Amino acid sequence: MSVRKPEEVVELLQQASELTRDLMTENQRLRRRVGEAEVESQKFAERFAQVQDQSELLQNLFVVIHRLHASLELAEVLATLREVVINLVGSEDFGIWSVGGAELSLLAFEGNEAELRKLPETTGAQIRGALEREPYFRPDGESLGLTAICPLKVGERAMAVIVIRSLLPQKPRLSENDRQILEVLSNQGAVALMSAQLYEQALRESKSLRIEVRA
Amino acid sequence: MTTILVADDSATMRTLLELNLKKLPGVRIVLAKDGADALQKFEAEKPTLVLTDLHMPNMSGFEFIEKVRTGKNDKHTPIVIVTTRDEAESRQRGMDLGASAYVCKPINGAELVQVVEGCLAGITAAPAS
Repeated sequence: MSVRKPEEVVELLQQASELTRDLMTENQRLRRRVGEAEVESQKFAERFAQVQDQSELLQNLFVVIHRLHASLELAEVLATLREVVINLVGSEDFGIWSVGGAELSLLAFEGNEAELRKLPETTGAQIRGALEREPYFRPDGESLGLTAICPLKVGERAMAVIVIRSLLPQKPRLSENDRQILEVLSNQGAVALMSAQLYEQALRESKSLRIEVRA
Repeated sequence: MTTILVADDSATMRTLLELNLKKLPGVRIVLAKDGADALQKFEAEKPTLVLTDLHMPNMSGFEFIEKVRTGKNDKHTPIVIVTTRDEAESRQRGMDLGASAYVCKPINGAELVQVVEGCLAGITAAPAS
Protein backbone atom coordinates (compact mmCIF):
# COMPACT_ATOMS: atom_id res chain seq x y z
CA MET A 1 0.00 0.00 0.00
CA SER A 2 1.46 3.36 -1.09
CA VAL A 3 1.51 6.29 1.30
CA ARG A 4 0.82 9.71 -0.22
CA LYS A 5 3.09 12.57 0.54
CA PRO A 6 1.64 15.35 2.74
CA GLU A 7 1.83 17.88 -0.16
CA GLU A 8 -0.23 15.52 -2.35
CA VAL A 9 -2.85 15.14 0.41
CA VAL A 10 -3.06 18.93 0.82
CA GLU A 11 -3.43 19.34 -2.93
CA LEU A 12 -6.19 16.70 -3.04
CA LEU A 13 -8.00 18.40 -0.16
CA GLN A 14 -7.74 21.74 -1.95
CA GLN A 15 -9.17 20.18 -5.13
CA ALA A 16 -12.00 18.60 -3.11
CA SER A 17 -12.69 21.92 -1.42
CA GLU A 18 -12.83 23.73 -4.81
CA LEU A 19 -15.10 21.02 -6.19
CA THR A 20 -17.40 21.31 -3.17
CA ARG A 21 -17.50 25.10 -3.57
CA ASP A 22 -18.32 24.73 -7.30
CA LEU A 23 -21.03 22.21 -6.51
CA MET A 24 -22.52 24.47 -3.84
CA THR A 25 -22.54 27.40 -6.27
CA GLU A 26 -24.19 25.20 -8.92
CA ASN A 27 -26.66 23.94 -6.31
CA GLN A 28 -27.58 27.53 -5.38
CA ARG A 29 -27.96 28.41 -9.06
CA LEU A 30 -30.23 25.41 -9.62
CA ARG A 31 -32.30 26.25 -6.52
CA ARG A 32 -32.79 29.77 -7.85
CA ARG A 33 -33.78 28.32 -11.25
CA VAL A 34 -36.27 25.93 -9.60
CA GLY A 35 -37.73 28.88 -7.67
CA GLU A 36 -38.03 30.89 -10.91
CA ALA A 37 -39.59 27.90 -12.69
CA GLU A 38 -42.12 27.53 -9.86
CA VAL A 39 -43.08 31.20 -10.12
CA GLU A 40 -43.33 30.84 -13.92
CA SER A 41 -45.44 27.69 -13.57
CA GLN A 42 -47.74 29.50 -11.12
CA LYS A 43 -48.09 32.38 -13.61
CA PHE A 44 -48.89 29.92 -16.41
CA ALA A 45 -51.49 28.20 -14.20
CA GLU A 46 -53.11 31.57 -13.43
CA ARG A 47 -53.00 32.55 -17.10
CA PHE A 48 -54.50 29.19 -18.09
CA ALA A 49 -57.34 29.69 -15.59
CA GLN A 50 -57.96 33.19 -17.01
CA VAL A 51 -57.97 31.88 -20.60
CA GLN A 52 -60.32 29.05 -19.60
CA ASP A 53 -62.62 31.57 -17.89
CA GLN A 54 -62.59 33.84 -20.94
CA SER A 55 -63.23 30.88 -23.22
CA GLU A 56 -66.18 29.83 -21.05
CA LEU A 57 -67.58 33.38 -21.17
CA LEU A 58 -67.19 33.63 -24.96
CA GLN A 59 -68.87 30.27 -25.39
CA ASN A 60 -71.78 31.34 -23.16
CA LEU A 61 -72.11 34.65 -25.01
CA PHE A 62 -72.10 32.79 -28.33
CA VAL A 63 -74.92 30.54 -27.09
CA VAL A 64 -76.91 33.56 -25.82
CA ILE A 65 -76.60 35.49 -29.10
CA HIS A 66 -77.17 32.39 -31.23
CA ARG A 67 -80.34 31.48 -29.33
CA LEU A 68 -81.71 35.05 -29.18
CA HIS A 69 -81.53 35.38 -32.96
CA ALA A 70 -82.59 31.82 -33.75
CA SER A 71 -86.25 32.76 -34.04
CA LEU A 72 -88.55 35.64 -34.98
CA GLU A 73 -91.36 34.31 -32.79
CA LEU A 74 -91.92 36.59 -29.79
CA ALA A 75 -92.75 33.63 -27.53
CA GLU A 76 -89.46 31.93 -28.43
CA VAL A 77 -87.40 35.08 -27.85
CA LEU A 78 -89.04 35.43 -24.42
CA ALA A 79 -88.40 31.74 -23.71
CA THR A 80 -84.72 32.24 -24.56
CA LEU A 81 -84.48 35.28 -22.27
CA ARG A 82 -86.01 33.18 -19.45
CA GLU A 83 -83.71 30.24 -20.11
CA VAL A 84 -80.61 32.42 -20.12
CA VAL A 85 -81.48 34.04 -16.78
CA ILE A 86 -82.36 30.67 -15.19
CA ASN A 87 -79.56 28.50 -16.56
CA LEU A 88 -76.67 30.85 -17.26
CA VAL A 89 -77.10 33.66 -14.76
CA GLY A 90 -78.65 31.41 -12.11
CA SER A 91 -81.97 32.83 -10.91
CA GLU A 92 -85.47 31.44 -10.47
CA ASP A 93 -86.89 34.66 -9.08
CA PHE A 94 -87.21 37.28 -11.79
CA GLY A 95 -89.60 38.96 -14.21
CA ILE A 96 -89.42 40.42 -17.70
CA TRP A 97 -91.62 43.48 -18.27
CA SER A 98 -92.38 45.24 -21.52
CA VAL A 99 -91.96 49.01 -21.38
CA GLY A 100 -94.67 51.10 -22.99
CA GLY A 101 -94.72 54.74 -21.97
CA ALA A 102 -95.27 54.87 -18.21
CA GLU A 103 -96.65 51.33 -18.09
CA LEU A 104 -94.73 48.18 -17.26
CA SER A 105 -96.49 44.93 -18.14
CA LEU A 106 -95.26 41.51 -17.15
CA LEU A 107 -94.30 39.43 -20.20
CA ALA A 108 -92.61 36.45 -18.57
CA PHE A 109 -91.43 35.43 -15.13
CA GLU A 110 -90.02 32.67 -12.96
CA GLY A 111 -90.94 32.45 -9.28
CA ASN A 112 -93.81 33.88 -7.27
CA GLU A 113 -96.07 35.67 -9.77
CA ALA A 114 -98.05 37.66 -7.19
CA GLU A 115 -94.90 39.07 -5.58
CA LEU A 116 -93.29 39.80 -8.93
CA ARG A 117 -96.39 41.65 -10.15
CA LYS A 118 -96.05 44.02 -7.19
CA LEU A 119 -92.47 44.96 -8.07
CA PRO A 120 -93.27 47.96 -10.33
CA GLU A 121 -95.29 49.45 -7.43
CA THR A 122 -92.69 48.83 -4.74
CA THR A 123 -89.48 49.41 -6.69
CA GLY A 124 -90.78 51.39 -9.66
CA ALA A 125 -88.47 54.36 -9.09
CA GLN A 126 -85.39 52.11 -9.04
CA ILE A 127 -86.52 50.30 -12.21
CA ARG A 128 -87.25 53.63 -13.96
CA GLY A 129 -83.82 54.88 -12.90
CA ALA A 130 -82.11 51.87 -14.49
CA LEU A 131 -84.24 52.28 -17.64
CA GLU A 132 -83.07 55.87 -18.02
CA ARG A 133 -79.44 55.16 -17.24
CA GLU A 134 -77.76 51.73 -17.36
CA PRO A 135 -78.11 48.23 -15.88
CA TYR A 136 -78.11 48.10 -12.09
CA PHE A 137 -76.18 45.41 -10.21
CA ARG A 138 -76.46 45.17 -6.44
CA PRO A 139 -73.04 46.03 -4.96
CA ASP A 140 -71.06 43.16 -3.41
CA GLY A 141 -71.62 42.92 0.32
CA GLU A 142 -75.19 44.22 0.20
CA SER A 143 -77.85 41.59 0.83
CA LEU A 144 -81.04 43.62 0.63
CA GLY A 145 -82.92 44.89 -2.41
CA LEU A 146 -83.04 43.78 -6.01
CA THR A 147 -80.12 41.77 -7.39
CA ALA A 148 -80.12 43.28 -10.87
CA ILE A 149 -82.14 45.47 -13.22
CA CYS A 150 -81.29 44.97 -16.85
CA PRO A 151 -83.01 47.30 -19.35
CA LEU A 152 -83.35 45.89 -22.88
CA LYS A 153 -82.66 48.89 -25.09
CA VAL A 154 -82.20 49.54 -28.80
CA GLY A 155 -80.28 52.79 -28.81
CA GLU A 156 -82.17 54.98 -26.35
CA ARG A 157 -85.47 53.16 -26.77
CA ALA A 158 -86.26 50.81 -23.88
CA MET A 159 -88.14 47.74 -25.12
CA ALA A 160 -88.29 45.75 -21.89
CA VAL A 161 -86.63 45.28 -18.54
CA ILE A 162 -85.44 42.17 -16.69
CA VAL A 163 -85.62 42.52 -12.92
CA ILE A 164 -83.85 39.82 -10.88
CA ARG A 165 -84.99 39.66 -7.26
CA SER A 166 -82.65 36.92 -6.07
CA LEU A 167 -80.23 34.25 -7.27
CA LEU A 168 -80.27 30.47 -6.79
CA PRO A 169 -79.23 29.41 -3.25
CA GLN A 170 -75.95 27.94 -4.53
CA LYS A 171 -75.05 31.25 -6.18
CA PRO A 172 -73.79 33.80 -3.67
CA ARG A 173 -73.48 36.78 -6.02
CA LEU A 174 -73.32 37.88 -9.64
CA SER A 175 -69.88 37.34 -11.12
CA GLU A 176 -68.21 39.59 -13.68
CA ASN A 177 -69.14 37.04 -16.36
CA ASP A 178 -72.82 37.14 -15.27
CA ARG A 179 -72.78 40.92 -15.64
CA GLN A 180 -71.38 40.56 -19.14
CA ILE A 181 -74.12 38.08 -20.05
CA LEU A 182 -76.74 40.52 -18.72
CA GLU A 183 -75.16 43.35 -20.68
CA VAL A 184 -75.36 41.26 -23.86
CA LEU A 185 -79.01 40.52 -23.04
CA SER A 186 -79.49 44.25 -22.58
CA ASN A 187 -78.65 45.02 -26.22
CA GLN A 188 -79.00 41.75 -28.17
CA GLY A 189 -82.15 40.80 -26.26
CA ALA A 190 -83.67 44.15 -27.16
CA VAL A 191 -82.79 43.73 -30.85
CA ALA A 192 -84.28 40.21 -30.84
CA LEU A 193 -87.46 41.48 -29.15
CA MET A 194 -87.80 44.37 -31.59
CA SER A 195 -87.26 42.05 -34.60
CA ALA A 196 -89.92 39.66 -33.27
CA GLN A 197 -92.39 42.50 -32.67
CA LEU A 198 -91.77 43.96 -36.15
CA TYR A 199 -92.13 40.50 -37.70
CA GLU A 200 -95.46 39.97 -35.93
CA GLN A 201 -96.61 43.42 -37.01
CA ALA A 202 -95.59 42.69 -40.63
CA LEU A 203 -97.48 39.38 -40.51
CA ARG A 204 -100.61 41.11 -39.18
CA GLU A 205 -100.43 43.85 -41.83
CA SER A 206 -99.82 41.34 -44.59
CA LYS A 207 -102.82 39.33 -43.44
CA SER A 208 -105.12 42.37 -43.34
CA LEU A 209 -103.87 43.51 -46.79
CA ARG A 210 -104.62 40.07 -48.21
CA ILE A 211 -108.14 40.25 -46.77
CA GLU A 212 -108.62 43.73 -48.24
CA VAL A 213 -107.35 42.61 -51.70
CA ARG A 214 -109.71 39.60 -51.67
CA ALA A 215 -112.61 41.83 -50.69
CA MET B 1 -67.77 6.02 -30.62
CA THR B 2 -69.16 7.35 -27.34
CA THR B 3 -72.80 8.43 -27.49
CA ILE B 4 -74.02 10.95 -24.93
CA LEU B 5 -77.74 11.58 -24.52
CA VAL B 6 -78.59 15.09 -23.28
CA ALA B 7 -82.09 15.67 -21.90
CA ASP B 8 -83.14 19.25 -21.10
CA ASP B 9 -86.30 21.18 -21.94
CA SER B 10 -84.29 24.37 -22.43
CA ALA B 11 -82.96 24.74 -25.99
CA THR B 12 -80.35 27.17 -24.65
CA MET B 13 -79.11 24.58 -22.18
CA ARG B 14 -79.04 21.82 -24.83
CA THR B 15 -76.89 24.03 -27.08
CA LEU B 16 -74.55 24.89 -24.21
CA LEU B 17 -74.18 21.28 -23.06
CA GLU B 18 -73.63 20.10 -26.62
CA LEU B 19 -70.86 22.68 -27.16
CA ASN B 20 -69.12 21.62 -23.96
CA LEU B 21 -69.39 17.89 -24.62
CA LYS B 22 -68.07 18.27 -28.16
CA LYS B 23 -64.72 19.11 -26.58
CA LEU B 24 -64.37 15.40 -25.75
CA PRO B 25 -62.86 13.37 -28.60
CA GLY B 26 -64.96 10.79 -30.42
CA VAL B 27 -68.26 11.83 -28.90
CA ARG B 28 -71.66 11.82 -30.59
CA ILE B 29 -74.41 13.86 -28.95
CA VAL B 30 -78.09 12.98 -29.04
CA LEU B 31 -80.51 15.67 -27.79
CA ALA B 32 -83.86 15.14 -26.07
CA LYS B 33 -86.33 17.87 -25.12
CA ASP B 34 -87.97 16.14 -22.13
CA GLY B 35 -87.98 12.92 -20.13
CA ALA B 36 -90.33 11.04 -22.48
CA ASP B 37 -88.24 11.99 -25.51
CA ALA B 38 -85.10 10.97 -23.59
CA LEU B 39 -86.56 7.55 -22.74
CA GLN B 40 -87.43 6.93 -26.37
CA LYS B 41 -83.95 7.98 -27.51
CA PHE B 42 -82.34 5.94 -24.72
CA GLU B 43 -83.91 2.80 -26.19
CA ALA B 44 -83.10 3.69 -29.78
CA GLU B 45 -79.56 5.02 -29.34
CA LYS B 46 -78.24 2.93 -26.42
CA PRO B 47 -76.10 5.83 -25.17
CA THR B 48 -72.82 5.38 -23.29
CA LEU B 49 -73.76 8.14 -20.84
CA VAL B 50 -76.78 10.34 -20.09
CA LEU B 51 -77.03 13.95 -18.88
CA THR B 52 -80.47 14.89 -17.63
CA ASP B 53 -82.23 17.89 -16.17
CA LEU B 54 -84.77 17.21 -13.39
CA HIS B 55 -87.56 19.69 -14.03
CA MET B 56 -88.92 18.83 -17.50
CA PRO B 57 -92.42 18.62 -19.02
CA ASN B 58 -94.07 15.27 -19.87
CA MET B 59 -91.63 13.26 -17.75
CA SER B 60 -89.33 14.58 -15.03
CA GLY B 61 -85.67 13.65 -14.76
CA PHE B 62 -86.38 11.53 -11.64
CA GLU B 63 -89.07 9.58 -13.49
CA PHE B 64 -86.73 9.10 -16.45
CA ILE B 65 -83.94 7.70 -14.23
CA GLU B 66 -86.40 5.42 -12.47
CA LYS B 67 -87.69 4.07 -15.78
CA VAL B 68 -84.15 3.45 -17.04
CA ARG B 69 -82.94 1.77 -13.85
CA THR B 70 -86.02 -0.33 -13.04
CA GLY B 71 -88.19 -0.40 -16.19
CA LYS B 72 -85.28 -1.01 -18.58
CA ASN B 73 -83.23 -2.78 -15.91
CA ASP B 74 -80.17 -0.78 -16.93
CA LYS B 75 -77.99 -0.42 -13.85
CA HIS B 76 -74.75 0.51 -15.58
CA THR B 77 -75.18 3.45 -17.97
CA PRO B 78 -73.90 6.49 -16.03
CA ILE B 79 -76.56 9.16 -15.56
CA VAL B 80 -75.44 12.68 -14.62
CA ILE B 81 -78.10 15.03 -13.24
CA VAL B 82 -77.68 18.69 -14.31
CA THR B 83 -80.13 20.88 -12.43
CA THR B 84 -80.83 24.22 -10.76
CA ARG B 85 -81.95 22.39 -7.57
CA ASP B 86 -79.21 22.23 -4.97
CA GLU B 87 -81.29 20.76 -2.12
CA ALA B 88 -79.84 17.79 -0.21
CA GLU B 89 -83.18 15.99 -0.55
CA SER B 90 -83.17 16.23 -4.33
CA ARG B 91 -79.52 15.17 -4.48
CA GLN B 92 -80.25 12.16 -2.25
CA ARG B 93 -83.29 11.13 -4.29
CA GLY B 94 -81.27 11.28 -7.50
CA MET B 95 -78.48 9.17 -6.05
CA ASP B 96 -80.97 6.68 -4.54
CA LEU B 97 -82.58 6.26 -7.95
CA GLY B 98 -79.17 5.42 -9.41
CA ALA B 99 -77.66 8.64 -10.73
CA SER B 100 -73.86 8.65 -10.98
CA ALA B 101 -73.23 12.36 -10.41
CA TYR B 102 -75.09 15.57 -9.59
CA VAL B 103 -74.08 18.90 -11.13
CA CYS B 104 -75.74 22.20 -10.23
CA LYS B 105 -76.53 24.97 -12.70
CA PRO B 106 -75.19 27.40 -13.70
CA ILE B 107 -72.62 24.93 -14.99
CA ASN B 108 -68.90 25.44 -15.36
CA GLY B 109 -68.06 23.85 -18.72
CA ALA B 110 -64.60 22.60 -17.69
CA GLU B 111 -65.94 21.04 -14.48
CA LEU B 112 -68.82 19.36 -16.30
CA VAL B 113 -66.41 17.86 -18.84
CA GLN B 114 -64.30 16.55 -15.93
CA VAL B 115 -67.35 14.90 -14.34
CA VAL B 116 -68.30 13.29 -17.66
CA GLU B 117 -64.71 12.12 -18.25
CA GLY B 118 -64.68 10.64 -14.75
CA CYS B 119 -67.91 8.71 -15.42
CA LEU B 120 -66.62 7.47 -18.78
CA ALA B 121 -63.32 6.40 -17.17
CA GLY B 122 -65.38 4.47 -14.60
CA ILE B 123 -67.01 2.49 -17.42
CA THR B 124 -63.64 1.65 -18.95
CA ALA B 125 -62.13 0.67 -15.60
CA ALA B 126 -65.07 -1.51 -14.53
CA PRO B 127 -64.55 -5.25 -15.13
CA ALA B 128 -66.70 -6.74 -17.89
CA SER B 129 -69.72 -8.48 -16.41
